[in-house]
Amino acid sequence: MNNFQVRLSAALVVVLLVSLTLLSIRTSHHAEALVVPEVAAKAETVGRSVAGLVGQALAYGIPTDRFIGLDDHLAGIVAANPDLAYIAVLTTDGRPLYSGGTPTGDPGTIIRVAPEELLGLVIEVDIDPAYVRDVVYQLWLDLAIVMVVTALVALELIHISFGIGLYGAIEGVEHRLSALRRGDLREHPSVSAAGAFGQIARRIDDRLAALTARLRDAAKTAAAVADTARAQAIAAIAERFRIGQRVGEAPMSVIAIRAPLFVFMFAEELTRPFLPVYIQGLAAPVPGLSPELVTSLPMVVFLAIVALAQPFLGTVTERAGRRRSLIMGAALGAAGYVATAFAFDLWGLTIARAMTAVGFALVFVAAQGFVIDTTGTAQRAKGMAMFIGAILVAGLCGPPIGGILADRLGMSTAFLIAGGAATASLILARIGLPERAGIGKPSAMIRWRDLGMVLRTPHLVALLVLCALPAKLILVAVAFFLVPLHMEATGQTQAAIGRLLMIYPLAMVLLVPAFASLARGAGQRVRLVALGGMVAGLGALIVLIDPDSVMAIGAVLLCLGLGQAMSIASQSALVGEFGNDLPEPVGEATLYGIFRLVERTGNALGPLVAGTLLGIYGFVPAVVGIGLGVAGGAALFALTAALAPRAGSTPPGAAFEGEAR
Amino acid sequence: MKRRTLLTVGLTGAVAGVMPRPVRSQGGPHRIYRVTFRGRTAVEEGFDDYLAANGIAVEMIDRDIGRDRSLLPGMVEEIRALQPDLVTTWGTTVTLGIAGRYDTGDPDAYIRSIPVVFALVSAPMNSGLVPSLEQPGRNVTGAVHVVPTETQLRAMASYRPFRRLGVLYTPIEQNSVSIVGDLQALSRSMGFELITREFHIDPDGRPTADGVERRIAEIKAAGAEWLYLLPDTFLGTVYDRVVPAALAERLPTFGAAELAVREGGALVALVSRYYSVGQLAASKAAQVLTDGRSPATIPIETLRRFSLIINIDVARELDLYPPIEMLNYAEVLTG
Repeated sequence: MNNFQVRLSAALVVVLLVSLTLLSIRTSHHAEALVVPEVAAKAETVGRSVAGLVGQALAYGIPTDRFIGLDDHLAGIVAANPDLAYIAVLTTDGRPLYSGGTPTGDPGTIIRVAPEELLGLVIEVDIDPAYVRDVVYQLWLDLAIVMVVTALVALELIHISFGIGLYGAIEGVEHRLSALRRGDLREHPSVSAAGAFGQIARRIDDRLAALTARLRDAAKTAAAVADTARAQAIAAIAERFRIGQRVGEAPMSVIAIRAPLFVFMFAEELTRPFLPVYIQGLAAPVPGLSPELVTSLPMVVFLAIVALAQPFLGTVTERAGRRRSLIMGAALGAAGYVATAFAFDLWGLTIARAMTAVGFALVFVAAQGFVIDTTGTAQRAKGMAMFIGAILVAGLCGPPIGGILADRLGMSTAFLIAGGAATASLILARIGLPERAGIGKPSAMIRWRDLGMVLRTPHLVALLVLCALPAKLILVAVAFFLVPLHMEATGQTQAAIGRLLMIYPLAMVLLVPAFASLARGAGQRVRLVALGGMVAGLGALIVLIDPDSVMAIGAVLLCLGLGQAMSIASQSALVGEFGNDLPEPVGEATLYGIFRLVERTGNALGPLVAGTLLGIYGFVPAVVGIGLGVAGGAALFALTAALAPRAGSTPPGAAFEGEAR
Repeated sequence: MKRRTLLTVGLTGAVAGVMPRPVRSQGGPHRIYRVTFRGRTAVEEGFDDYLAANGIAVEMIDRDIGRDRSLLPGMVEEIRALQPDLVTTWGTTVTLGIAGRYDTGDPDAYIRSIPVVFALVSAPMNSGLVPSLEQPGRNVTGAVHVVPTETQLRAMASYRPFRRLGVLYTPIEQNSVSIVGDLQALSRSMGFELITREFHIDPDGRPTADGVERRIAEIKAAGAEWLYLLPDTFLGTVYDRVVPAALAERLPTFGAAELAVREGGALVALVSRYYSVGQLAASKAAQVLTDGRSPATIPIETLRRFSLIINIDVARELDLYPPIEMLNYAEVLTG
C-alpha cells in the first residue's frame, strides 16, 4: 500500500468523522428538542379525544361511576401508542376514577386536559420517557451508520474526483522518489496533471532528462576521443543507475476502473434490502407454485443469467473492447432499474431484472477484464485487490442507504435512484476510462473436456460441491432473500433491514485479510474451509432462539460473515492447489473459471432453494435446513480430506483472483 | 360578395346534410315505475341519491298505494301499458302484489318479465318471492333490510354479556319460527340458553296480547338477561304492551326494528337505515339499467353496516348504561 495515499485518506476520513460526529451530536439534540413537543402534542390530542368521549357520556347524564369499560378502553389506547405510558380520568381533587397503563410519577412527562364539558373531571396523559430515549437512540444508530457509510463513500469520491489526475500525479511523484532512493535513474512516463504534484514530477523529470543528456554527451565525447576506459566507465555508470532507460508501465491506469465499477455495484447493492419485498408485492399467484417460490423467480433469473453469461462475456468484452462493454452494461443496467421501478406485474419485473442481470454481468466482466488488461503480473494482485475492494465497499454502503431511500421515498423511487447510479457509472466510464485495446492474454473458455477432468478429481469435486457451492447458496438464500422478507413480515423498516445487511460485508472486510494471513499451507487451508462452513452453517441455528429478534438475525448474519471470511481466501487458494492433481493441466484461468461457475450456480440456486423451503416449511425451518446443509457439506469435506489425504504437491501459484463474496 | 354568400349557404346545407339525425342515445333517461306503501320515505331518498351520484338519468313514475293493497292489480295493468325499463317496490306487501310468488298464482296477474327491484322485504324466500337469494332465478332482485341474527346477538353481548336470552314470538308467523330456529342454533354455537314464549293464539287463529305480562315475568324468572324483540309482525303492533312489561321486570329489551327503539321504548336496537337500504336497492337497479344484467342473476343482499340506537332514558331507568366506547358510534336517543 502506498504510504502517502494511506495518510491522505486517513486524514480526510478523520476530518470527515470529526465533523460528522459534531453534526450528529447537534442533530440528536435537535431531535430531542423536536420529538418531545411532538409527543406532548400527541398526548394532548389523545387526552382531548378521551375528554370528548367522557364529556359525551356526561352530557347523556351517565353518572361518573357508570362509565362501563372505560378502564379497558384507556388501557387499549396505552397499548396502541408506544409513546404513552398512562391515561387516567381524575376527580377534581386528583383521585383517579378510571385508568389504563402505569403512571410514570414524573411531573415532566404529564399532560393534563380539563375542558369545561368535563364538569371538573381531569384527563391525565403520561408520556413514556423510554419512548423518547428510544427514538433518539434509533437516530444515533442511523447517524452512526450514515457516518461510516459517508466516510467510505467519501473515500470513493476521492478516487473519483482525484481520478487519474491528482492521484496519478501523487503516484508519479512517489514512484520517482522511490526509484531515486533505490538509485534508479530511469526516465518515467510524463505526468500531465497540473498542480503542485504535477510540477514536482515534471521537475524531477527535467533533472533526470538533463542528467541523461549530460551522460549521453559525456559518452559521445568519450567516443569521439576514443577513450575506451572513460567510455566503459560511463557505460558502467549508465548501467548501474539505469540511466537512459525508460520505465515501461503506465502508472496505475487501472485505478480508472474503480469509480464506474463502484458506482455501478452500489446501484445493485442499493436494492438489496427491499428487492424481495418489492417482488413479493408484484407477485401474482402461479398455479402449482407457492407464493414464496414465485417471489424467488426473478432473483433466480437474475443470478442464473449472471452465472451463465460470465464465461462467455470474457471473450465478448475482449472483442468489443472493455470500455465499450462496460458502457453497454451500465446502460443496460440503468434501463433495467428504471424498468423495474415501473414494472406492474411479475413478468415485467422478471424481464427488467433479466436486463439488469445482463448489464451487471457485462460490467463485472468488463471491469475484471480491464484490470487484467492494464496490469502486468506484478501489479495484478494489487489491481484485483482494488477491484474486490470497490465491490465490497459498495456492498457495505449500498444496503443501508437503499433501506433509508426505500423508507423515505418508496421502493419505486429507490429503483429509479439505482438507475441514476448506473447512469452515473456510464458517464464516469465515458469520461474516465481510457480507450485502448486490451493487452492481456486472451481469456480461456471453459471446455467440456476440462470440466470433465475437474469432475474426475475427487478433492476438487469435494471442494467445489461441498464447500464453494453451498457457501454462495447460503449467502444469497439467507442474507439476500429470507432475511429481508422475514424482517419485512415482522414489521421492520427497510432502513433497519439495510443496517442489518451491513453486518455481513463488514465482517468480510474486517476479517478476510486476517484469515487470509492465517491460511498457510494446504492442511491449514482445508481446516479453515471446513471450519468456516461449519460456523456459517451452524450459526444459522441461532434463529431457533427467537426468529423475531433482530439480535438473533444479526447473530446469524455475523456467523455467516465470520464463516465465509474464514474460508473464502483458503477456498480460492485450494482450487489452485488441488488443480495440480489434475491428470493434465488445464491452466489456472480455466480452473478458476470453473470455480466461479460453480460459485455462481450456488448464487442462482440460493433464492430457488430458499423460496421452495419458505413456501413449504416457513422461515425458521428454511434457515435451519439450509444451515444444516452447509454445515453437513463442510463436515463431509473435512472427512474426505482426512480419510483420503492427497499426495504431496507443489505449492500453488498466487490465487489472487478471489471474488468479492 | 354574392358569390361568397351563395357558397356559404351551400356549405351550410352540405354540413346539415351529413349531420346525423338525433336519436335517443343508449345512455338516455331510463323510465322507472315506483310503487310505495305509505308515501315517500328515506328509502326513496337513498335510491334517488345513489342514481344521481352515479350519473344515471332516470324518469320516475311515482305511485303510492296508501296502505291499500286493493290498488295493486290496477297498477300491474298500468305497468303493462307503460312498459317501463324497471319497476321498484317498497316492502313485502307491495312487492308480492306486483311480482307475485315465484311458485304459485296466476302468472297473468303479476309482472313476470319487466325487472322488479325491491327494498325492505325482510324474508324474500319465506314470503315466496324467490327460491334463492344468491340466484333469484326470475325478474326480481333487491335489498333486504334485516340485520343478520348473529350480528344482533353480538351487538347485544357487547352492550351486556348474557348467558340466557328470552324471546317472545308468534308461532303462526313462519318468518318468526325460522328466526327462533336460527336462535336455537346460535345458542349452541355461542353458548347461551334460549328461553322461548309464544303469543296467545285465539280460537280464530289470530295472535293476541293476552297474558303478555305473565309470559314476560316467566322469561325473567327463568333468568333471562335480555328480551330479544325479533322482527315479528304481530310483536311490532304490541310494543306498547311488551316493552313496559319488560321494563317493569327490569328486563332490558333489544330490538331488531327501528320502531322498537324509536317509538316502542326498547333499550337498544341494531337496524339498517332506510336511506342505506334505498342506496343498496339502487345499486341493484343500476346493474339492471346500465350493465344490462338480468335480475335473475343479481343476488339479493342485506347491508354490511348497521346502526346501533340507544335509548339513554331507558338505560338510566334500568341503571344499565352502555359501554362508554359505544358512544363513539351509536346514535343516542335522549328524552
